[in-house]
Order: sequence, then C-alpha cells, then structure tokens
Amino acid sequence: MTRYRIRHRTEYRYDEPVSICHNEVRMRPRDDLGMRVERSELVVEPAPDYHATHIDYFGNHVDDFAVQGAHDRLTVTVDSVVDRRSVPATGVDTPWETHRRGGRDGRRTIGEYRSSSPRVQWNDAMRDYAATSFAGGRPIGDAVIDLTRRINADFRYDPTATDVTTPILEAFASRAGVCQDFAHLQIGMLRSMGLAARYVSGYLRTLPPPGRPRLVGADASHAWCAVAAIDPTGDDVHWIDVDPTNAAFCGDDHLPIAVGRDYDDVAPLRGVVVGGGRNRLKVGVDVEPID
Amino acid sequence: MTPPAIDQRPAAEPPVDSDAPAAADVRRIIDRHLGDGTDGRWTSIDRDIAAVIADHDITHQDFEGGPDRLARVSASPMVIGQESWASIESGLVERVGVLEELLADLLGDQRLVRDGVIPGELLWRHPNFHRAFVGLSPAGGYRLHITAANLVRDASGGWAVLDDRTRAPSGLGYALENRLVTNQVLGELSRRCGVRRLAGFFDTLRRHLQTLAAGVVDAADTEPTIGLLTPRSERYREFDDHFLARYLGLELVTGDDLAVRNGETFLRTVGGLRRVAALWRHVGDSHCDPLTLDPASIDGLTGLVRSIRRGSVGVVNALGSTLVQTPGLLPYLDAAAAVILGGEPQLPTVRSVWCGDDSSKRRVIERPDDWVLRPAFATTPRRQPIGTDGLPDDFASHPDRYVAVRRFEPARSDIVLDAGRHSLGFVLKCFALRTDRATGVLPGGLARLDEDTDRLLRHPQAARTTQDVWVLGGFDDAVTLLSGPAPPPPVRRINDELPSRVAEQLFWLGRYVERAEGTARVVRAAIECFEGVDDAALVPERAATLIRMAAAIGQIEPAFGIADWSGDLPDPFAALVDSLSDRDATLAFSLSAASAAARRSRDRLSGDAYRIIRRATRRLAEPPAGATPTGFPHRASDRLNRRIDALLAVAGVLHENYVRGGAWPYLQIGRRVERVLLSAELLSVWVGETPNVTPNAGGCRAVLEVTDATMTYRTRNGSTYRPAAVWDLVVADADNPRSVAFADAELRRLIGSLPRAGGVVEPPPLDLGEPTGDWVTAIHRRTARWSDAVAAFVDEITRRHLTHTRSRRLHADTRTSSP
Repeated sequence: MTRYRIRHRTEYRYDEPVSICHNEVRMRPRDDLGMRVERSELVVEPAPDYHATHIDYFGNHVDDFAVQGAHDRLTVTVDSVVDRRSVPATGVDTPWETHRRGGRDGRRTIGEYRSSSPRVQWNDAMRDYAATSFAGGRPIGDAVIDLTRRINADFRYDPTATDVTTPILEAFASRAGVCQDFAHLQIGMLRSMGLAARYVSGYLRTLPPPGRPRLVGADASHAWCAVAAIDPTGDDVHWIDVDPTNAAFCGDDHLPIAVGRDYDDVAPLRGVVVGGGRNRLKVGVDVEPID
Repeated sequence: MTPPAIDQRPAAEPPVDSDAPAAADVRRIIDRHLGDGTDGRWTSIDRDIAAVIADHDITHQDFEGGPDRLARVSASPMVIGQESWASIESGLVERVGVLEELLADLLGDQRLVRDGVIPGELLWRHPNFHRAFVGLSPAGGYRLHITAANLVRDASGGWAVLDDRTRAPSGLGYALENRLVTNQVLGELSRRCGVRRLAGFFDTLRRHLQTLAAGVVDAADTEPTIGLLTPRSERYREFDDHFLARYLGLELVTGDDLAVRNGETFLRTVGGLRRVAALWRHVGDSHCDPLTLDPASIDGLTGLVRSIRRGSVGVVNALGSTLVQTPGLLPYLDAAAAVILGGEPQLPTVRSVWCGDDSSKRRVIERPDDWVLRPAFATTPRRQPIGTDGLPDDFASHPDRYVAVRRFEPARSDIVLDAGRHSLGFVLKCFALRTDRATGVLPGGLARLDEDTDRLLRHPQAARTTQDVWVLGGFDDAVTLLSGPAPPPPVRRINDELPSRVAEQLFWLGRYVERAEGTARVVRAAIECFEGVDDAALVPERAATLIRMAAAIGQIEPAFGIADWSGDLPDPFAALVDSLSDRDATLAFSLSAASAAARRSRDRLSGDAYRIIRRATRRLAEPPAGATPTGFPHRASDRLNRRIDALLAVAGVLHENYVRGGAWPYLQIGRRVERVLLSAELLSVWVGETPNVTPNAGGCRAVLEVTDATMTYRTRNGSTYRPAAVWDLVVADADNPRSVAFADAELRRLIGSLPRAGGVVEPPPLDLGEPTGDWVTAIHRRTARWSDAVAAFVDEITRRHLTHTRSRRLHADTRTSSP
C-alpha cells in the first residue's frame, strides 16, 4: 500500500472575456479501483456560481459547475490524498476463450465492453494483429500482457502523430500515437477477440522507487486499459489492468481515476464556453508518494 | 367554423340515429354526400380544400431540405367503427405500458438484455444511448408521456404496429387540420354521425403539461412557463410545432431562446430571464445538451441535463425515450411484451428481423424481394445506394445496420382527391397521452397514404397525402377522457415575457412590410405614368422623379437614378414591369423576408393575422397571358393595386387583431423606423442633386403620391405645388399619419412602453424643422443625419432587446498525452 498526494491543475487563459462557461470534470478519485480516498477537493477560480457533484453510469465522480460572470482565466485544481492498494489480478491463468461470455458489473452485464464504442472500432487487420497473441487455450494473463508488450514494441510514441480526435484505425495504420491511442488500440484488439475491455484514465507516480528505472513520462494524465476476467464460479468480474505505453501490468504506481468504454466516457474536463476568443491551455500534474 | 362549401341536400339522407351508426352506414352517407363526381362537384371540392390548406398554410417540409409543399388532404375521411376502435385503443394503451417498462429496463438494470430477450448490441451501440440518461429521474415518475404508433392493416383485416414514435411524435397538427378540412367539405355530418371529437385530447395534453410544470416550480410562481422545444435544424417539424404551440398556448422555443443558470432553466425574454418549468422537447435525445451529450449539436441547451438532474425542469418525453422507437428493436418487441405482460400483446408488431443476426441476414439475402429494409438505428432513412442484388450496398459489410420488415400489401383506404376516387395503401398514426391517471388515445389520428407500398412501409412520414380519421361512438362521449380537475387557467399578459427571438422576428416583419408597401407605391406611381391611365400623370418631371426613386430604393438598376437617365438605358417602363418578377429587386425581396419573419413568429400571430400576412407577402403572381375579357391588356399597376391593398390589410389586422404578450411595440417600431428611412431616401431623390434648384411641381407630385398625401395636400393647398408646403405635410405635420413627425412621435411613445430590464434606449434624434438656406444641400444633409440616427438606434435596440444568439464553443480538450 502506498499513500499519494495528487495535484492536478488545469488553466485556461482566454484572449477575450468569457461570459459564461459550463463544465463537467472527472478528476476526483473513486473509493474503489484499488484506491481509498483519504481526502479530495476541487477548487475552481473564479469561484463557480453553480457546483454540484454526482456519480456517473460508470461509477466515476463528476464535478459539474458553471462560472456565470465574465472571466478571462479559468483554473481547476484538484488536490487529493489516496491510499493505493492494487488488487492482485485473479483468473489470469484460465484460458482466454473462457472470458468471452458472461460477466456482471453491478446488476448490468459487461457486454457493452465487448461492443464497439464511439472511439473504439476495429477492422480485420487489427483482429489479425491481436490474434497472434491469442493462441488457443493460452492463459488470459499471458495473452494479454503479450499483446501489451507487442503494442509497446511495434508502436512509436509520438505526440505529433495524432491529436485528441484521431480515430484509432488511423493510429493503427500509422503505428504511432500517445498513451490514449495505445489504450484505445489495445481495447479495440481485445474486443475484436471477444473480450471485454475498458479504458482507464489516471496518473503514474512521478518518482521512481530507489533502485528501479524511472518510468517513462510523468507529471501528466495517463491512460491505460483493463480486460475482464470472469470468475468461472459466478458472474463476478476481475479487471486486469495493463499499460501498453509502458509494457506492463499495472500496480501501485498506477493511480486510476475514472473508467469507461473509451476516452469519451472519462474525459477529465468537458466544457462549453461563450465568448473567449482563442484560448491557451496549461496543465500541471504532480504525483507524490507520502508517508 | 366556415359554412360547408357544397350543397348538403339533407333531405336525401336517411336520418341518423342517436346510436352511433355502423361504419359502413357512415361511409355510405359520406359517399352520397360527395356524389359520384359527374356534376363537377369534386373539382369544386378540391378547390375548396386547396383554399383551406393554403389559408392555413398547411405545408410539409421535405426531410431532405427541398421546398415546402402544400398538404394533400382527401375530401372523404377514413371511418372506424366503435368496436374496432375499442380494440385498437386498448392495444395501444397496453403497448405504451410495455414500451415504458422496456425503456425503464434499458435505462436501468438491462435485465431483458441479460436474459437474451433484446440483443445487447442494439442498445450498446445505439447512437442515442448516452449513458448520462441513466439515473435521471423522469418528470412525473415515468418517461413516455406523448407517444404515437404507426398502425397498418393486413389483408385479413388485422391491425399491427409498423413502428413506434416515442421521442416526440409529429403529426398532431396535421390531424387537427385534416378534421377542419373534412368538416369544411362535409358540413355537420361528423357531428350528426357521432364522430368523436379531437379537442378533448388536446385539452388533456395542455393540462398535463401544466400539472408537470406546477410540480416543478415553487408554489410562489403561479404561472410557470411551459416551452415547446423545437429543433433549429430540422424544418420538417415547423408546421406541427408552430401549430401545437399556438393551439396549446406553449412558448415555442429553440435552444438559443433558453439558458441554464444556477442549475435552472430560463427563457430569454425582452424583459430578462424567465424561469421555465416544463419543456415538451421535440429535439433529438443526443442533441439536447452539447455539454453532456452530443457536443456538435446546435439544437440543444447547454446545461439542460444538469437542470433535469436537479429536478428544476420537467422534460417530456424523458431523455432516452428515443431508444424504444429504434427500428432494430421491432423484431424483439413482442417477445419483450410477453415477458413484461406475461402473455401475448393485444396488438402485434409487424413481422421483421434484425439483420445483425446471421440467420436473419441469410434469409434476407436469399429472398430480398420478401423484405423491406429499414435502418436499424435511425428512424429516418438515409440515402444508401442500392447494389445489384437489390440490397443497400453496405448491407453485406454491415448487415447489423438494417432491420427487414416482411413485405406485405397494406390494406387500402378510399379517398376523394384530384377530382377522382382512389384507393391507396395507408398507415394510420395514432397518438397516446399518459397522464398520472391513465393513458388515453386520440380518437382518430393521421392516415397517410401512398401508392408506393414499399415507401409507405419504409418511411410513412414521407407520404404527403393524408386523410382525416373518423372514430364513431361520439354520442357516448359524456366526459373527456383522463381529465382531472382543471388547474386554474394561466392569466398573464405582461409585456416582459416575450422571447427575444420573437421580438426580433416581429421587428423585421414590421420593417419588411413597410418597405414592401413603400416600394409598391413608388413602382405603381411610376408605372402609371406610362400606362396612360391618367393624362395628368404624363408630366415628364414626375415620371423622372419616380423612376429615380425606384432606382434609389433598389427596385430597378441604379443607373436609372442618375439625373438624366435617358441615354443608353433600356425603356424604363419595361424595366419597372420586369422588376416585378425579379426576386432580387426590393419588392420581391421584402415580401419574401416579411413572409419568412411571419413564419418564424407564427406562434405569436393570431390565425387571421398570419393568413393575411401570408397572403400579402406571397410572391407577385405573373400576369395572365393575353388580354382581359374587355380586350384591354392587363395592366401592371393592377397587380400592384391589389398588393398594396393586401399590405394595407396587414397594417389593419395587426392593429386590431393581433397580439400575444407585448410583441406589438417591436413590430410597430420596425415599421416606424423603416418609414423614416424610406422617407429619407425619397426626399433626397425629390430635391435632386443640383444645388439651388428648387424641386418642381412634377417632383412635388411624385413625393406626395408615394407618401399617400396627394388628397390632403390638395385640400390644404389647392393645385399649387410649393416645396415648403410639401415638406410641412410629408415631414413636419404630426397629424399626418404618414409623416416623419408622426413616426417620430410614435417611436417615442413605443420606446416608452418597452420593458426596462433591457436598459433604456433613447429614441433617434430627428430634426424636423423647415430646412434653411439651399434646400438641396440642407435636405441631403438632414436626411443623411436621420439615417445615421436611425441606424444607431436600431443597433442599440438590437443589442438591448433582441439579440439572443450567441456563439458558443467547446473547451479545448485536455488530451491525455503522457506517454
């Protein structure tokens, strides 16, 4: 178990005054996904005229707020302290084919994680690429981490190759992208094999523990994916989190914040502004282990 | 009600019993009434119907954006007997209950999906299944309030549901208008045959929305606003939505008319924000809120989902309701009904299969002629090219995009239309309303007919030929269905509630009507110079001034505006006459702009006012070919005379019969402003361009004529034309209702009556004293100042009272870009 302090600051500066803005923020941690939330607060400047919270369909924590007076700068700061206790994956040794049916998340089936979603489709080439890792009867853990490593090896990390709206079929064709693209690609491949897979947004710890190499990237939001292992005795689901950007199973270094079918379900900040002209966006993330 | 247009020959009919006669008897009575058409009566009936349709402007808007087309309505109604109707009605009520349960499950635990009754793919991949719909508490505790089903009859006479409309069914307005048409043709027959009336359903609907609204707002607000949210981008709803808003007394709004503040929904009015308690939304589910739902939508209201989540606005039908009208679900509905009801539904669904299922797909490919394909997810068909196998060309790669309806020959209905009797396949759209007490069905509906059976089955909305539906048994209609105790009627007639959008449209309506009338007067006076109606008109200076005026206001080529236009220019008379057919000339342009403004503010205009405005703003008809019966050529001035009369009637009806909710000042301000601008232009032409040359008598006569002041001038001044006297009458005399001084006084009065919330707007300063020094220079300078002052005033009033559309955009995405 590790305690972390997570600070995430998002700032928009506008060339012209904004007369009103409405936003939905998914940045506060949940009390599940292997996290226990000690405290978490969200501060908006200028102070919002309306602010409410709710839990969405996927169980994510949503802050819904509006700033109704003229402003030329908006900052959203989330400051949280969490205990991270990643749950060891179970069911990783069973043949992957046994996980293509069933599964229940709460009262609903997890079938929708096997279906295409707004940002995740696949074609035959993606399915063929994935199939290499999914030999008959192979344990799901082996197969999935093998695919994760192959994506990491075959795809170039390149922030200029894609933007936030690039369709994954394009990222697949160009063999390049960022963590969001890699997560979408692996989700699409897993679903093409009939498995249930979901998108996870969150953070990666900043400082490497002594004696271990520093993980690539930090101080930013991160994204990875999870595949559902279905408990053969019941319909329970164990989500196995893997990080294609770092070619690894996720552990205590990964701090999940929100889950969904793809990025659209978990976008950290969605907003509509009136006025504002051009804007500049600055994001700062600080993830710090504390004792 | 207007009297029946045809001879009723009541003596020829058998007496109608107080019991409802059998449907067949009623059909015989109708047939006898209409005759066999040999006496030319059907032609005259067609003409009468066409007149009603044109007067009420019953148009259908093409789904694909083509021009509006007038409706085609059969003279004879479809007749349904009491017992048949009772079984349809009870089947529909049951079906509404099933759809409600199904929807609650899809937006809840999805048990029907888990248990394999409904394929999950149809739900999970549905473009309208936004996960944000789950967990929103529906207004009134249930989701489906106003729904419809399209029914078909097969050869054996059994009824089945072709599809459902659970989002916001269109067609209620057409159904009511069709009843008006048959009553026009058949007189009192519907009453004497005991045809059930439609009004009760609408009364209940109005009360139901009021009840929902009252449940949302604080008890302190005794007059909650109820809006009908209509899409900006889908014109096909326009007729229906304007009709319903007017008929039910709802505020017709687009997303731009609304705003969410502090989690509550408001209407932007000229007096500021006004709380909205309930919305009957006719906007697609995904398009209701760009913040939470489809960010690309322009029809919605940012923050609406938030307002719903807080329970601060009652929205019907609930967001998500579209899901259960998905055609892809049709093959599974009867099975779902069996689970929900514990038995077979009374009203079956037409036979269909979803092609996303392999065996179904193969069946369709093997015998494509047995099936009619519809998109599985969308309710309106896209245009998909058809391949050589007779199937859409994306069928092989994406069969899951299609649902196949087993082809059958729908039962036909007899109609009388186009001076003939025809028999066409029909789809009957029935409407249901669920209140907190019960579910009721509109006794009647909208029958749509098409000779192309496939098109009818694929897309019944596209059928333009419709028919009234008579349901018998009305003698038993003791009480209106469903009605609870009526809430107190809203009595509110303050000025501040006017939506800014409507104020803006009325302002422009006023301006364009005024401009059209002024232009028509100039052109008429100019044309008369050449038509030789009046010898005295043939004064060259008068003609020259009028032609320059016509050029100055943009009716003919600007080149005619130069002092000596006689050079290389074409015959001015021909140019003036031709300009009447020119869509870009000021007259036609103003008429069409006025007509559009009237259409967009239709919900605020009385039926009479709307009809008169639409008549006055139609395109000028082309003159008939050949000579008049008396052998003289048709005179262009006659066309203008009639049009000027019609435009004057607009002024009259607007003055007397208008107006809902404080709209009057904006329209009148528009007219007065335009009057000043037009006067400035005409006076400036009048004095000419040469300094120190006083306007001549011909010019004076021209300006008096186009300002309708000739008679008054003669009464006062005889036949001597002095520029100072003309100025006095046309500009300075506040007792002359067409003078600039009168317009100035009116503007001051009207501005005083505007709501203060927008801030005080100063009237434009207009110097009206007699010009001094050189008249030509002085008047040019003076009229230019008027125009500037008026333009500044228009900007100011637009900013403070009228502007409602503001650009909005999305926050730049914060991309997850860490490696």
